[in-house]
Amino acid sequence: MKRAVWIALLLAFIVHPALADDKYIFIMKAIGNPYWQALKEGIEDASKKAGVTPILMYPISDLAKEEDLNLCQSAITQKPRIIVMGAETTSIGLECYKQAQAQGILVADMDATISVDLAKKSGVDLQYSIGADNTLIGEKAAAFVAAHFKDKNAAPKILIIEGAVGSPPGQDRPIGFKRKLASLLPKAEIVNSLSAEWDRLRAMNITADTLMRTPDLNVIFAANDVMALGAVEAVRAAGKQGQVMIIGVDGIPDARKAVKDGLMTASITQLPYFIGKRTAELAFDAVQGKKIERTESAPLLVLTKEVLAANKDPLLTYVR
Amino acid sequence: MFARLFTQNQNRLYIAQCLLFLAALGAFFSLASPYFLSLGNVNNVLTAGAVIGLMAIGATFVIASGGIDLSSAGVMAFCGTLCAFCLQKGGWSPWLALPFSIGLGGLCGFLTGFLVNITEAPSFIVSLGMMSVARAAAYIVSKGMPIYGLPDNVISAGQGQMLGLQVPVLLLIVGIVLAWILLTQTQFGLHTLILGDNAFAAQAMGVPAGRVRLKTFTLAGIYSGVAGIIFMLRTNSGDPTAGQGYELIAITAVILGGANLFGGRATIIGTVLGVLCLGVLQNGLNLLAVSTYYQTLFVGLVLIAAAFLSRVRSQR
Repeated sequence: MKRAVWIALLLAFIVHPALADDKYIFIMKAIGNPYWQALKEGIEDASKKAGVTPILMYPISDLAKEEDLNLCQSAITQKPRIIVMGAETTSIGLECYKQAQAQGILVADMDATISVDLAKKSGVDLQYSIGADNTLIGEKAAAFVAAHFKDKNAAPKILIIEGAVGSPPGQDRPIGFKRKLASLLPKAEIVNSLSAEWDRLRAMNITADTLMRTPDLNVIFAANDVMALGAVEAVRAAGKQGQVMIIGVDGIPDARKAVKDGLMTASITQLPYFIGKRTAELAFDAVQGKKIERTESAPLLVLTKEVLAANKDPLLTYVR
Repeated sequence: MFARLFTQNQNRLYIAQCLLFLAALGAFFSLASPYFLSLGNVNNVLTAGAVIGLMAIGATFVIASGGIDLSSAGVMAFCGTLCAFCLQKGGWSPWLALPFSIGLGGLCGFLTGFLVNITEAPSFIVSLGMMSVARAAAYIVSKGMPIYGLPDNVISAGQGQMLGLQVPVLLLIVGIVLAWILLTQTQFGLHTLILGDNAFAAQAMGVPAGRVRLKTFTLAGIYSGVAGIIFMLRTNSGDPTAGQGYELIAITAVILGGANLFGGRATIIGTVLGVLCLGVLQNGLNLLAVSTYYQTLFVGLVLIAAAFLSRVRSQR
């Protein structure tokens, strides 16, 4: 009997030589954001499959950037094998990785905040970076707008609602949007490009003020869905539904509902559940020393009323 | 009597300063943007200022009594999220969900005041704790996800007009009038100011300090609750992350309106003017399409100017 127990234990160790005992810490972004909830689901599902209990850590607010570093330092004290972080800013992410690496802890990036090359320049050996290229998301949104207007000489008036200043997704998405728009619709006019700090009410107020100045506004591109939903309410209050196309990013459930109801035109989703699932799988592989792709880009999907109604795109299985 | 007259004159002076500042802002933006003085834009400024305005009015009572309430944004988010939950998930009638949520906002304020009284700890610390508790409650109620899409009848009533005014603006006006009566026409208002001016003297004069403090925090909680309802109605959602950092904007508006941060002096009209100054500044900069970097700079400069004014006032 005793021998059987020993054999069982030995077998368990052989099946998961590293996974069973090692700690895997994932430092997420703030709770309360549906995008990160879906990403969390992906991590949990992949972990469950691998028989691992991941440690998930959250800052209380998106705006308290230093909190990321505090979380990182408390993660280091737990001596995990790997720390995977969705850093709010590049500088804080790099600082965290440096401190962890100095303690012999593997580090990786989720949500494409820091590229492997950028980390290398700062002396950080990033195991992998996974996520969607934020400038590419902006470009995709611009291409969607251009396709809607068809004529290259069209001159739509556009409001861009940026995310938090200093946050890569908040800034890079508008940058990608502007860059692509300049090539596809050179006569388009960006009437305002302001940060709403990821805040729904601030986005609503910016939209209301912009509609006052530019009543013939045609397009609103918001760097995330929460802000896009704020814009939806301002457009509705101004009685301009149908005149203004509103595009958000993330594909959160509320935005999908707004798209289905015709209140929002589209949401570009980078499939957070997919990112969460893959980031966990890559973390387990990295710890076991398996060869992995250092940079993995998440596919993008433009969720429109038609795409959601048809329900045929295989990527929709990752939409949570 | 003489002291009261002196305070009234002081208040008039601060209100005049604030009015002048608001007029200067208004003149500048009306010259810079043809849209600024339009009726629609005035409506935008007032509607956009309703949430911060109600939070600032609640904060006025606490600051007047010599305290600070940092829990207002957390309580605001909690009440809005709870109300959205009751309406959307619970299927409650708005007549029940709204007073229930606002009442719980008052309860949060009551608890803060109660804890300040029994622990004698600075209200700054206790309300900071309540800020986290209320925010956590909002996360727990909503399971961390915004509750989007309220019943149509609630949204059409909340985003519509009554007596020719947007509902948030109407609620703000009612809140202003009630607060003005409470602070200037009642014994409670007088006790609040005396307590903030000199707590020892107030106790010697028989002012029931504990009870007054309890009432000021409860009022602040109720006003934050109403602000949460307006946030919910305007954005069609109960968002547990709503209004992060709004508590500091509300306190700034109170100080900008001539209140003494250490208590004893505050007016509702001053607070309203402070809210309008901040709202007009934000709205004007948005209309002029000033980039976020410079907007932050201008808002910062205004705050420094307010601090400078406050220093000049305290030296007089």
